[in-house]
Amino acid sequence: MQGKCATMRPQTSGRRVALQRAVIAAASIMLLPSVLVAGQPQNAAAAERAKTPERTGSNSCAAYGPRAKALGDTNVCVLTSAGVMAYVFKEFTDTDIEMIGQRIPVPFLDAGLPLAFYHKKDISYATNKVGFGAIATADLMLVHMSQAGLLRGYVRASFDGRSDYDEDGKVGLSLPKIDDSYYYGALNEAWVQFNGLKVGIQPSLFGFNRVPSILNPTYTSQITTAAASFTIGYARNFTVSISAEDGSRRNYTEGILSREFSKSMNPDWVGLVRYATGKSLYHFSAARHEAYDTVVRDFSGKGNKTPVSGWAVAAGVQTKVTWDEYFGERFKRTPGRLSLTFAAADGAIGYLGIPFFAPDYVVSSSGEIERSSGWSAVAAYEHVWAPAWKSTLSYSYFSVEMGSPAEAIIPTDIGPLPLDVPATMMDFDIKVRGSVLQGGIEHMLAPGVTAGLEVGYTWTEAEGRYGGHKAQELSVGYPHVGFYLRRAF
Amino acid sequence: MRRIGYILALGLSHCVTAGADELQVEQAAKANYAFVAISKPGTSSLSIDQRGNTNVISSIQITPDLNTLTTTQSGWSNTITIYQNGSIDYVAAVQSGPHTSAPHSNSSTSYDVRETEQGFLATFESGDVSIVSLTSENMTYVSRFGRRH
Repeated sequence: MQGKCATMRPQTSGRRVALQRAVIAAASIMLLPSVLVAGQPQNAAAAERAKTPERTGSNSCAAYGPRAKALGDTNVCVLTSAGVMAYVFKEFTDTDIEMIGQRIPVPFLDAGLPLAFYHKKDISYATNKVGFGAIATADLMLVHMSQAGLLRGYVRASFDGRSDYDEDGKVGLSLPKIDDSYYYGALNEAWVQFNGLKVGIQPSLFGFNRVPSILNPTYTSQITTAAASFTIGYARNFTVSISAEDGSRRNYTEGILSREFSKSMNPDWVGLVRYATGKSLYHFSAARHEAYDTVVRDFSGKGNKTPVSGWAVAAGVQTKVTWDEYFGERFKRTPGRLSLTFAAADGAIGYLGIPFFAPDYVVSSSGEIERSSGWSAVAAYEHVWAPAWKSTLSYSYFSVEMGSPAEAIIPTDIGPLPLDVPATMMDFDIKVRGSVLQGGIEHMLAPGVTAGLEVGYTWTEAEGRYGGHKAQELSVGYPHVGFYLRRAF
Repeated sequence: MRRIGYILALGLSHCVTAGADELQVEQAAKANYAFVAISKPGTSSLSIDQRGNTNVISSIQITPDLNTLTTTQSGWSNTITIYQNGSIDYVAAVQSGPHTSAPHSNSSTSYDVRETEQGFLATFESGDVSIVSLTSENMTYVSRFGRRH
């Protein structure tokens, strides 16, 4: 619509992350069996050593799973897997909340006045049709055990295409892009690990519970990023990790209210503590987000890059629910898994795993920064009804608040004499809340072939204030349904 | 309550000439904000009428030939900031106390953009607030974000 539009967030969408995770979970479970079963961090040295086979013996690769093969006489084990998934989905709504950011030229405000608005956008051009897509992933892992320790290398690439309807109703193919590159978008993971040190594109230490739903994302942070991480295992059930991560994949910026960039020399720092008991795994993580902003420099032609920072914390628990303890032996084969995750952030909204309803911060014309803050939470339960049947139920909620520093539209210190009137100030504050309730059922049709159905309801509400004056609440809610078919190789 | 009326005009000259079709903006919420930033085409002609408790106009008109602005504000707090820089610039501003009719409130939320001869006219109305911006294409800086971006 209007002149210079900008959306600078480089991240793949939450739906894509959820979908990729689903295929990965199915395809790579044989690559990382003990990690998933025990719930240990993927780069926990203690966990790795615990599952590492004896260093002698000709069949040491068998300890990594039935598909692990020895690579000649090199004492290197090779594990490969692949998965494909096709899906269709439908959202029963004609509208959704859209945010508008605008920087308006104003006398005396060199970099303009930042304002944001919310409204119901007509999205019927996309939602009156059935959406569809397909994902194919391939994994390769090499493992070598020497006297010095464990050496692993891992690569996962994917093709993730889905329908993308334009406003004329024409369908196109949408592929994930990172740093303006489809290649980076297709490279999900690529790392090497030596004992507790892991370097490369890897899952961020901040995230915890894997997404319990397949087609519609829940509000939890699960991304991969370029990082160097180090894990110390104090015991088999207690690890401490720290990583330096590429913050650019966490930047929530749209280029007008803020213009945020990350430098590789100034990474995000993420810490993680995990503790496991008999049935439960506890997760505590914290992150410090580092970036710089150029919006004032770009709009006013004055000033330099402005350092910006934010933080995020998360806590979660996963626990196995053994119903046989309560209802007897006949429920022994029908366990469940309960997971709870909570995250809070200030100036680092990308760590909440929520839709992009607020940038990390808003910069005024004077360069003053007001950081956005928010939190998200997910409660999910998965239940195994029979060896080939599983159901999921989850509820996700988020709340995020953004605003601009108040600025005088007419400064009182201009002219030869100070103006003896109250300054006319302008700012905005917008709060957005949302939730998703969804349930799904999954059936294994044959070994490696799974079909699933998901239904859910998404609700979002926005309300704002402008110059201290209240605007009206706006809410949308709609049901959605999806079906998928998955094959693991 | 003290009523505040305040106009600040910079680079103002006084001539009246027939120009482009006048664009009229009317706002009647409790808080009305109008932001103008026009540099194209050759002439700009605008009329803004605000009736509410708080009325604010901030205008930049820098088209090369003719810039005209007529405003009417009726409220407890009326503020105008104007910058004009053309061959011919004209401003007429009337500020008065609150109008007898109560300002609107609790209007439903809407955001609308339409393209006019003088630029993009964006209108946001919600509850007690009305915010209008009229900006030339080269002075329009807009982003869109949300769940589907």
